[in-house]
This record gives sequence, C-alpha cells and structure tokens, in this order.
Amino acid sequence: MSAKNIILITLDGFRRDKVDLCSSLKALKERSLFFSRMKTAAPYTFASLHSIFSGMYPARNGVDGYYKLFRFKKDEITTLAQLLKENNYYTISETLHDYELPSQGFDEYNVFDENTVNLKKRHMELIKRLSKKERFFAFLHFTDVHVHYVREIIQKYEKSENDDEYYKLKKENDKKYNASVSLCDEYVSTIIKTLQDTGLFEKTILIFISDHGTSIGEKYGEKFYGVFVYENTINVFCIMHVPGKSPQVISKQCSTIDLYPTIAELAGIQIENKSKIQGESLLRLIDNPSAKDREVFVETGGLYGPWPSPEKHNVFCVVRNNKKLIYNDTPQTWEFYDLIQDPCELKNIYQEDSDEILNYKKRLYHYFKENEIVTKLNENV
Amino acid sequence: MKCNVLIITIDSLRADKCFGPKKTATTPNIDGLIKNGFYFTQAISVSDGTYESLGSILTGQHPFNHNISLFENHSNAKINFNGLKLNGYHLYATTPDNHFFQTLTSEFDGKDIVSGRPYLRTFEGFGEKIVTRLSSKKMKEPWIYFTHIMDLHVSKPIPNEFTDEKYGSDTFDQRLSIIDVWIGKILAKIDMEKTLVILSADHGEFEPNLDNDIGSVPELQKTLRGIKSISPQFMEPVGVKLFVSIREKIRKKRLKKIQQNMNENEMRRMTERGHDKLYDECLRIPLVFSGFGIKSSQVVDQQVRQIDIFPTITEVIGIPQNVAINGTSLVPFFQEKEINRLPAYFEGTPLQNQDQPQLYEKFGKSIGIRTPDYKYYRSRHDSSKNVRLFDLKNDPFEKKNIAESNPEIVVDMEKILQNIQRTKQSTKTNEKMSYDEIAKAKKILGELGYI
Repeated sequence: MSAKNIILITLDGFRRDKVDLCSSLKALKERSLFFSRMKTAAPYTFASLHSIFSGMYPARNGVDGYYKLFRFKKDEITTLAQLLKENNYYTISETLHDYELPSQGFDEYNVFDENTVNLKKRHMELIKRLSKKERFFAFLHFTDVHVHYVREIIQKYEKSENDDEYYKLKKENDKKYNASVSLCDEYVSTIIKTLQDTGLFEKTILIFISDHGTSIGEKYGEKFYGVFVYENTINVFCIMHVPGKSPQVISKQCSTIDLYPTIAELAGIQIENKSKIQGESLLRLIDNPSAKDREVFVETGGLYGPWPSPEKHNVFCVVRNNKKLIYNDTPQTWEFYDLIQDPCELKNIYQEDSDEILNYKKRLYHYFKENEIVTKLNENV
Repeated sequence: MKCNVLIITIDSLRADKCFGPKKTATTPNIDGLIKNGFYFTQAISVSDGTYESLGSILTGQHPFNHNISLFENHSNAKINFNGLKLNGYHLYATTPDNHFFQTLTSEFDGKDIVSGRPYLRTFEGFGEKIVTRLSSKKMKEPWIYFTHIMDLHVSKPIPNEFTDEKYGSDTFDQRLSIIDVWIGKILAKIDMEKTLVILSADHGEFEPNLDNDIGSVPELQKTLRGIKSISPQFMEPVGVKLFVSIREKIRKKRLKKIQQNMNENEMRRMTERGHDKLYDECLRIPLVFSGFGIKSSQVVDQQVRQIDIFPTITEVIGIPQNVAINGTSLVPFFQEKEINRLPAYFEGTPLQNQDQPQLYEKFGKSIGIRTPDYKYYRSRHDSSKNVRLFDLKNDPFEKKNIAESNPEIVVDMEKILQNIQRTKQSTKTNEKMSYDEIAKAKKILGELGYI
C-alpha cells in the first residue's frame, strides 16, 4: 500500500444530508470510498468517539452515559491510537477536552478552545509539521459547525425559554444550520490543499466522518442530539480517501464501531484479541455486490429531554432490513418504524403481538446481554 | 419555588397502630397529617429489618439492588437520595448514633448524630435535637431533612404521665403517644405550605412486652463489671462473650417459661423479627404524604410499596428521575388518577447474633412477594423449601399456610417473584457513581456548553 499516514477527521454534528451542500466534501466524496449509510453507536460526541477508538459499543467500553466520562476501561482496552502507536505510527490528537476520547496511545494529545481557535490555520500548520514524520496517525476534531449551531440557534432558544417555538421553526432552523456549511467547506478545502501542497495527499488515508447528526427540531423533546435514537441524529457518514482505491459508494448499512478494524486492516495491522472488538472491517463491503447490511445497535441517554439519563443509557434501538425497533427504558415504551415507507419516523407501527417485531426484540435482548445492559424490562408484572 | 422535604421514619411502627380501629394511641398530630394528606393503609416494607428498609426509602430500589443489609458493608452503596444535591437540595439529618446511620448520611450537608444507650428517645433529648436543627438558621433552602425515631425500639420505662390509658391500651401505643407530642413540636417549626412531609416507618413489629425485658440481667452485669475493673484489658472480649452467652441462655429459659401458659395469639405476639416470620405485623407500615404538593386528602387502600417513596418525592419536588430505581411514583394518586397494582417484593432480615455472627448469612433466609390477595415467601436459595402462602383476603392474620393445597397459585406467585428478581442490576450497572464524580463530569460538560 502506498499510503503510510492516516488522518481521521470528525466533523462534529455534521448531518449526513448536508454533505452535498459542502462542495469540497462532495468533491472528495466523489473520488473516495463513501459509506453512505453509516450509523453512530451513540448520538453524542463523548460516547461516539470512545466507541470509535475502542471498536466497542458504549456499554462495553464503559462510556455509556454523559457522566461516564471517566469510566473508559483503559486497562482492559487497546485503543485504535495504541494499536497504531505500537505499529510505529506517530500519533497525535486535536480535541476539545482531556476526556473527549481515550488519551492512551497518543504521542501528543492537544486540547484547543473551540470558541477561540482558528482550526483551519491550526490544522494546516499541524499537517505541515507532521509532514516531517515518517508515519503518522492524526485525529482532528472539527467543531465549527457545532459551535455555530449552539451559538446561533440553541442558545437563542434557551434564552427565550420558548421550546415550542423551536420545534415549529424547522425550516428556519434548517436554514441556519445550512449557513454553517460554508465553515466546513473552507476547512475541508484547507486540509486537502495542505495535504497536496506538502505532498502528503497520495501518501495518506484521509477519512472524514461525523460523530453524530443534529436535530433541527424534527422530534419534540430533542433540540440538539443525544436524547433519542431517530435517524436525524444517528445517521452519519464516512468519506474514506485511500490512495489507489477507485471511488465507490458503499450503500450497505454499517456502524462507527466498524472504523477501528477497518483502519487497522488498511494499515495492515493484525488485531490481537479480536474477540473483544465488536466492529467489523468495512473493507469486505467494497467491490462486493453480495454484501449485506450490517445490523446496527445504537444507545443513548440524554442530558435533557423527556427522560434525562446522563448516568446510564436509557434509549436503545436496533436497525436492520430498513426497519427500526426503539426501546425507551424510562417510560418503558416501544416504537417500530419502516424506514423505507416512513423515513421521518412519523408513524409508530409497533404491535405487541407481531412475530416480526418479536425477532427485533430478540436482537435487542442479544445486545443487552452481550453488553451487560440492564433495563427495566420485565420489572412490572 | 423548590419546596422543602421532611421525612420522619419511626422505627417499628406498624400500620394498625397508626391508623384504623385497633389504634389506641393518642396522636392528634399524626391524625392531622393524615386528615390533610394522603394516607396509604396498605404500604408494604421491603423487609422486617431497618437496614434493608431505610436503604429502599433512600434509593427507591429493592434490597437486592441497593445491597444495604446488616452484615453487608454498605459504605459503598449508592444512595440515590444524595443525588438530589445535584439539583440544588441540601440534605440534613438527625439520627441515632451507629455506624449504619453514619455511613448512610455520609454525604449529607449537616447532621446530628445523637448518642445514647441503647438509643435516646424523643423525650430524652432526641426530639429537642430535631427541633433545634429545624429552628436553626443553618439549614439552607431548599432542604431535605431526614430523621429516624427509635422510641418504640427501647424497652425502658416511659414517663408516668403517659402510662394513663388515655394514651394507649399498652406500652407500645403509649410510646407512640409520646412520639406524637414531639411530632407536633417538629411540625410547628416548619412551613407546611412549602414543605412536603412524609411520615412512615422502616418496618412493623410484633408486640413485645416492652415493660419487661426478659433478657435483662442487671445482677450479672454488675458482677461482671466488678470483675472487669480488676482484670487486665485483654480479658475484656472474653468477658463480653461470656456475658452475651449467659444472657441469651437466661433469656431463652425465661421465654420458654412464659410461653408455656400462652395461647396461639399470645405466642404470635412474642415472635421476634429476624426469625423468618414475615407476617403483616412487621411488613405493613404507615405511609403519609402531606403538605406541599398534596392538594387534597384521601385514605388509599390500594397496596403500595416502600420503594415508591423515593420516586414520589422526586416527582413532587420536580426533579427528573434519572437514576435506576425499582419504585413507581405515587403522584397519580394525588391527582386522582389510577395507578397499576404492583406486587411488593420483600425479604427477611438476617438475625443479629453478637455471639456467633459467622453462623449467619449476610442476607435473610427468605424472599417473597405480597399482592392484595396473597402473600408468598420461600427460602432465598431454594424455591421449593420453606414455602409459605397465605390467603390475605380470607385469612388476614396469616394463620394457615395454604401452599401445599394450592400449587398452581404457588407457581404463579413464583413467576412474579422471579420477574422481579430479573431486575437485579449487574454489579457493573450498580457500581456506585459518586456524586463527586458526577459533579466533576457536570463541570466539564458545563465548560463545553452542554449544560
């Protein structure tokens, strides 16, 4: 393989349906591997990034709650950064906070202030510096879209304390969100140009992902993300530019936990103790018309919303065959959606006595068991 | 406005002594709370032991989830109650002095741990401590104040003025009349308009003869104290063991003699808690909600559970429920709405034996459930052993075990019990998340603009 370096960039909260509005991202997508139906393992940054770096669902890696920031099982898990470092990569991360993702395995763990930083400039200089390294892995967190959305939309509604108004103004919220896409465009262009200028573009696997989506008011109770597991916040994407690989749209469903084994395989690294990793390499989906959708499991617990649960996730879903079963543990309610017929999940077609739904329930129980997730199911008799 | 919360638990106060036709105590203050609030006549404790019961009140969880027990180190237990501090509440307590209460309230903002042997009663200074605490300006609002009154647990004489029949037909009821006087003094110190008041008990009690402690051996104590004063210190543990052993033998001998002339009902009254006799006397407790948030009054006969107290408090005071609990809020009752009838899980408390504690398990021998119709319990470790089933509708005094003749009911009840047991949280999930850790996480989330 000609590429030696790996750059993984997360575009915080960038919605999948906005990729084509961002011309630089769209252009890169068209000459890369594009995983168009990836879903996050958890729709908020902390849990999502810990899942990506562990290749495990939140409950297994320990960060299965907003308050579980310090619970990552660092003594039991070899992170992606560790794996790459052990294989002679110089590893560096650019993040918002010491606890945003597991720091183990990074030669440099740099923290910036998202409110004052100029990420274009900062990361351009970083790439120039890294060009002198023999082989590197860089994780970069791009937060401008997220900051824009919080500043321009969320905080304004918080001040007015008018929740209902927010949910009524989806179109306006959407426009305001779109206004931030140019920030992303400039950033992506800068990164690509810098890689080209330094001669790194053809020596580097460049991966753009989003860690979670963002609500613009589609579902009452979720102003942002992390509260529910509807499509608007769990749908993410992955644009993977691998020098020498032909561009391709991979439209099979997959999960962010699959990135760990995929990157390891691209780097030619064998994962020891593979059984602990729950993700599967995505390379088997490439050039493989018979490949099937990966079943995905997603979990969350909101900081706010109707059932806040920052100590322990309380909302779960399993998605397969374009249908989704949701279980909300706090109110103990079920939802079932046909994502082809009803992509906006407006009509809950859950039926207690459906054999089809029973099979989805069995899969959900499977994930509960595999990840030692305890819910209130079966308590009330 | 965030309201204050006053929680009073009276050790060993069984439900029928507090409300109903059998009550003989004079309790105008408790009666006033009931009259102006919601009283649950069928509130069921999780256990006949204090540790398990108070653990459930302060966590909203079944004992097998909070793991607070007499012989279990509960200093690591996660007390959900403490989490209310994260919502701006200040926690205060006045409790008896022992290790259990010390650790239970370890994260409280202020507390009075009141020493006294065996326990100081309300009229001996404990009540004054509560009144002083409530009168002081040291309590920051909004506050939650918890106190646990031990008067009914102490077999020492009461003031003569309360031995009159107008205060109750027996010593137990007369003691309750004294407690009520202090409840009046406590309530006088709070603003009922902005305070939610909860009055309940940890568990019930049989009816021991409190005037005559059959284990009392004052002469022996005096003799051993004399020996102790002239013996080397290292001999003390030997002396204590000897004393406990002799006292137990004397107690058993006296008990046997007393029981020789007793009928069945009298024998039942002599039953001691902790001996795997989980009758309603020791499981059915009073439960009153009054004051803030209670806009009407009602006596509710539907069965409710001790684990429902915590979620009821959090809903009344408007704190979102975001911790793993087993209870269900009783607030729908206050709004004249219906609520599902839920079986009450309970388990026996282990018997304390100071002489040979190693012979006893950490947890009580039996586990079971109570529904409005039946009570079912059996050996903790073997569902086929010591099976007891009582028809509460036709045999409210639980005299006849009908388990053998009703195997189909036993099967149904066992299924319900097993379903409840399935809510046992794994050690991983139940691992304590300290409030310091939560505060640290909240600080970071705050810095990042999440909260």
